[in-house]
Amino acid sequence: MAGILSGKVSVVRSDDARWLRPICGALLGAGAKVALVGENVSGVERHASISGPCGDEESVRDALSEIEADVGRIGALVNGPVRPLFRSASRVVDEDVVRAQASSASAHRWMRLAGTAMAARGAGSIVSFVTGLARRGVAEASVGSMTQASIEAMTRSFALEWAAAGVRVNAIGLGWFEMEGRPIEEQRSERLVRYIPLRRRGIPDDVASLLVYLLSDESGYVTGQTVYVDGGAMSHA
Amino acid sequence: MLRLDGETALVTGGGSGLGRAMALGLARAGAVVAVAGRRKGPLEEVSDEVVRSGGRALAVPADLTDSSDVARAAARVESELGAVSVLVNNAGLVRDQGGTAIWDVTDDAWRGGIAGILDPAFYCSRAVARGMCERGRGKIVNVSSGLGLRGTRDNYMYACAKGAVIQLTRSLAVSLGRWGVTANCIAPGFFPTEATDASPMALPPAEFIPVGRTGRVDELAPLVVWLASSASDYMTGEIFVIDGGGLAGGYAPTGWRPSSSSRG
Repeated sequence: MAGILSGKVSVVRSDDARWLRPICGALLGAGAKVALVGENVSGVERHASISGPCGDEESVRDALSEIEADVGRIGALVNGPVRPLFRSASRVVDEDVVRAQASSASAHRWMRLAGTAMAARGAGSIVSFVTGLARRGVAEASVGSMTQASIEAMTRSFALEWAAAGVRVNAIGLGWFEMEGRPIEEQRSERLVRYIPLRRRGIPDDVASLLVYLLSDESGYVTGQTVYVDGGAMSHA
Repeated sequence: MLRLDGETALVTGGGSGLGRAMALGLARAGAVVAVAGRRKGPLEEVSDEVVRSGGRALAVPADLTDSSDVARAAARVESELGAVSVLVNNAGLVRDQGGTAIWDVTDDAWRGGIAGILDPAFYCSRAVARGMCERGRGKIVNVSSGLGLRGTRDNYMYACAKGAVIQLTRSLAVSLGRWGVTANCIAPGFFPTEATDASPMALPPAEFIPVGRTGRVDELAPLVVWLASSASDYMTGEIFVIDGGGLAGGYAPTGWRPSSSSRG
C-alpha cells in the first residue's frame, strides 16, 4: 500500500479526535499529504493544520482555500467517526438531538464543499466513517443512530450526484471499536464481545488499509458503498 | 377487515403450524381455501374446520417436493375449487435441524435440506404462475424466515434455502409484475408450533426477543390476508418481517444497554 496515495492532498477531519492520529497515520504511510482540520495532534506530521471549529460554511470554505493554497489541490476527504451518544430516552433532551444534527450537518458541509470542488476538477474520493447504528437498533442509541444513518444515506446520494464527475463517495462502517486492543481473554468477559462473531472489538488498525484503498485510485469503480468492518456483527441474527 | 370473497387460495403446508393459521385466516376473510401437504389427517381437520364455519375448503395431500405431484395437486384444486388466485408458499420440509458443523454436513443432507424447503415454493409457483398471468391477476405469498436474512450458527440448509425463498420472491415479483401478479414474502421470527416443539433445536427463550415473547401463529393471519388482498396490489417483491423486533436489533445482545455495560 505504500505510496498508493502518493502526493494526494487529503483533508482529514473528525468529530472524535481520538481517531485523528490513526487516520493520519494510515494516510501518511501511503504517501498522502495530510491536511488536518480541527485539533492539533501532537506527533502527527501534517502538511497543513486548520484550527478552529469550522462550524459554518464560510469557515469551511476558508479552510479549503487555505489548504489548496498551502498544500495543493484537494484529492480526498476523510470524515472521521462521530462518537455516538448513548443516552436513555428518558434522559435525552432537545440539545442532544440538535448536537447530533449538527454532526450530520458538519459531515454534509465538508462533503458538499470539498466534493463540489473536487467534482469541478473531475477527480476525488471521499470516505466517511459510520457505525452499525446506521442500520441496527440498540437501546439508548436513538440519538446516536440518527447521525450514523444520515451520513450513510448522504454517502449514497452524493455518490450518485458526483459519479459522472469523477468523485467517488464511500463509507466505512465500524462495528464495536475501541482505540487500543486489549487482551482477548479480558474482552471475552464482556457479553457484548461474546456476541461479536470474531470475539473481539475492532481497533483502528483494522480499517487502515480499507481507508487507504477507498481513497486511492485502486478503488476507482467503487462508489456509494458502505463497507462494514465489524467482526461479523452485521451478519448476526 | 379486508375481504377475500371470490378468491381461491392454495396454502402449502396448511395442515399445521403457521400454514394452518394462515389458511384459517384466509378462509375467515371469505376465500375458498385448499390446503396441501404431506399429512392427510391434519389437512382434513383444517378443511373440516373451514367447512364447519360455513366456508369452502379442500384438503390436498401431496408430496410438494415432487413436481409431478405438485402439478396433480394444482390441477385438482383448479377443477374442484377454481383457478388459484392466491398462493401461499408456506410448506418447508425441514429435513435437518441444524447444529451440525459444516464438515459433518453430507452431500445428501445439503441437497435434501435445501430441496425440502425451496422446491415446494418453486414448483407451486411454477404450477400456478401461468394461469395467474393469463388472468391478469394473482397474489403469491412466500414464507421465509428471519434466518433467511441473517446468519445463524450451524444451520446451513435452513438459512440458505430461506434466503433463496427471498430471492425467489424478488424474481417472481420482477418477472410477473407486468401481468398483474404480485409476489411478497413474510419473514417470521420465532413462532412456536408443533414442529418447533418436536425439534431438538430449542427456540431461543423469549428474553432474546425485544418484545419479550415469541410470536403467536394467529398473528400471521391479518398479514397474509392483507398480502392476499387487493389492498396490497402495488406492493411486490417486499419482505415483511414479523419478529417482535428481533431484526431491528441484531447488533448487540437483546436487552443489552450501554448504560448497564462496563464499557460503552
